[in-house]
Amino acid sequence: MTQETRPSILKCEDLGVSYGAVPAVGRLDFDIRKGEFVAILGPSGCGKSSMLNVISGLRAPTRGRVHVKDQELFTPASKPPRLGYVFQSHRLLPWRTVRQNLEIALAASEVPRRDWEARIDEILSILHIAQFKDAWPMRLSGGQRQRVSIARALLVDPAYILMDEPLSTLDEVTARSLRQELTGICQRTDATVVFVTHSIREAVYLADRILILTRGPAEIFEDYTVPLERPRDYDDARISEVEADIVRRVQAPWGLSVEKEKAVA
Amino acid sequence: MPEMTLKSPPLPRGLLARSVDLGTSRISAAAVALISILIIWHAGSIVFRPWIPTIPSTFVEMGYDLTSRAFWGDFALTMGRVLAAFAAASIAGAVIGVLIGLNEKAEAFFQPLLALALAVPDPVYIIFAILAVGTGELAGFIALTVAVAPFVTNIVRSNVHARDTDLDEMAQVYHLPRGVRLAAVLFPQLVPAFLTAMRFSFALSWKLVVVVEALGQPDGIGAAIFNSFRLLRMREVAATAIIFIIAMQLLERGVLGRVEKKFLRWRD
Amino acid sequence: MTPLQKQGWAGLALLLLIPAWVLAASNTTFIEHPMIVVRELPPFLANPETWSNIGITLARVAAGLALGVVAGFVAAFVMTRSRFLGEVLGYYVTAALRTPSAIAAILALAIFKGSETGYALVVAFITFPYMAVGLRDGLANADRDLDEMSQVYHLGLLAQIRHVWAPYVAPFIFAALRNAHALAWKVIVVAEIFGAAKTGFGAKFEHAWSYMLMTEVHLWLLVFMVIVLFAEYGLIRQAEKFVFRWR
Repeated sequence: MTQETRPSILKCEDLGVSYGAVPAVGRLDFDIRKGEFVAILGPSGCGKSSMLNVISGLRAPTRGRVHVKDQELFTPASKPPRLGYVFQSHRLLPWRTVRQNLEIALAASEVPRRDWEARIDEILSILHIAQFKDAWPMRLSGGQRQRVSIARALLVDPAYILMDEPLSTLDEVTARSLRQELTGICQRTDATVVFVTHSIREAVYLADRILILTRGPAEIFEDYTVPLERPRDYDDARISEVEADIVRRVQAPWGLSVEKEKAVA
Repeated sequence: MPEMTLKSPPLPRGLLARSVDLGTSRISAAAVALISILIIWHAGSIVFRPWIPTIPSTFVEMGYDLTSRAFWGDFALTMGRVLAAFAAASIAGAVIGVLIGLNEKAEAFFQPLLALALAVPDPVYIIFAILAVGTGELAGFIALTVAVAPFVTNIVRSNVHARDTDLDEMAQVYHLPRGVRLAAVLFPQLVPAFLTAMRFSFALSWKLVVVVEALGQPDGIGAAIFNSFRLLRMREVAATAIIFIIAMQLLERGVLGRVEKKFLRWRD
Repeated sequence: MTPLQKQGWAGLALLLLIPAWVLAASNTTFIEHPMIVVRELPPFLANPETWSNIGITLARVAAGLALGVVAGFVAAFVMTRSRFLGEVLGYYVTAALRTPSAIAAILALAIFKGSETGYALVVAFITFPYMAVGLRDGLANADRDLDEMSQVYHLGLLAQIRHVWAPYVAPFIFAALRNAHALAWKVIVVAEIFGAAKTGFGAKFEHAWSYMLMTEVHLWLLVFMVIVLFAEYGLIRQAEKFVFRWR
């Protein structure tokens, strides 16, 4: 099945956010389909967090419409979207064990109680952390905690999963191994992922599609389809080529200096 | 494995040596503190005779207190008053603290009342409690509770403010119901604050009970101390005060310390 | 919420105190009706004796607090410089923290026979441990974070104190001072009542109470609270704002 024929999961039309007279998000139109891995790439301060607040259902936009599956959000009749969220930091409850952390999210989801145990076991083993089921989060390493956080997002039968720079606080070796596993995990669970990142290379490596934003107030500068088949290799020269291509494209709209471009390349 | 056995012994030995070192320096610090306090006391008892009792006579008096029924009767009465007021002030103060920490309107409303309540000197509370409900157990209970609760409220409120709002956002994103947010997300964060507040509330209660009993009750440790003072029996004042302070200190450390350990298991 | 709404809620709380007072007056024998108290207020305020008594209490608080702050500073400084002396002093601080103010007042009266030194010393004794603990934490923090920096930039001693150390420790000083100040007013009243003072707020309040002069009890309390709140919000918090205006 090609992406075009799969159902739409998250669709934004003419989306705008402003605080008083100050615009944070200019105008966004995009459509994300079932099973897609879409990266969102923008310069710092372009309004990404405002956008995330809207598409996670936390805050109504000033203008425009958001659809999740068939339902329009922020209308009086609509329920908040069911989604998974992987934050920059793990945001686990440190006074609950891994299993209890997952259960508290499951309890608020529509997953029937009899399926919990099996699901938790399955997801934990996919993420290679089955042995930590009854551990306190503070006893785990940063990478392990982030794995639990990903497990929580996958567990709740989410319409889609938001990942807000989930690897940025990990050391490079840990980030690499998790990054490498991430695409496989998402394919196995047929998850739809919106992945926010600062790293162009990470976006190229992970995503099917990259929404490249302009400087704030954010608009879509380009809806870029990554021209690489899977599986990909993070150190592959072709990734570097695509990365360099994107850097060239965003140089003008992001106002990158020559030095910065060199640093990125 | 063999290299492990070669490598591991020096580490524990070093650690052990250091902790023993720390231990002896702590003990000698305690000894220096104790001896210097006794020297100051002794000097005081010579310079300000008879207003500061001598050390041996105070200890004899303490022994007498510890074996007297009247003392333990007063002690039990006072203990009951302290515990009742401590419980009431902790609960009321914590409830109001959580409420105003979470709700801006409630905070704006209670803020000036809190400032007023904190500015009232403790004897005023007991006197007004007596004016309102007469001399009796109730007046002391009200005065102690009203004097202590605002401190609890302040501690709890500032910790509600300082909570991890990242976790609130997580709870919202995952649609955790309100009850779960309070019970599983907010309250565990407040446990250390509750414990601090309880410690504070207990310490304040037993210190204030002396004032309350001296001014408004015919019996109890505070009244006993004040009576001895009126009869200028400084030996009795000192002995009763020292026993009471040490007993309360032990209780604070023992009971609250144990509670603390139990509730903060997840921290390490 | 806008500041105006905030003030509205605060004002409402204060307004509700009046009916609460009326209610209390009508349901108890000894609590006076607010109107009676308000009527007596002008002559009470016009009486110079009122002010001389408040002035005496104020002087005791100021002297005791000053002593307590200095002692707290010294204790905190020693505690952060020497581990051993710090632990020894720690016991003194704990002992002072654990002494009920009524007992301190009784002992001071016995020793100093109601002289002014006695009152000031009680206030100092009760407030100094709070200053010591608060400042110790501040100094320890400053040491950890700032020593390296000032070494790197080769600042002179004075410049170090003025630009690096003072701004860093100032918040701790103010927090400790606020606690100590609030406590000082409470302690002085206990000390005046238990220390059988002839003058000062506590003495007058206790005198009015024992002679059942109810209106006077209320008047003293009102005036006292206004002064404490003015000292806290009108002086200390303003000074704090002034010092931290760069924030």
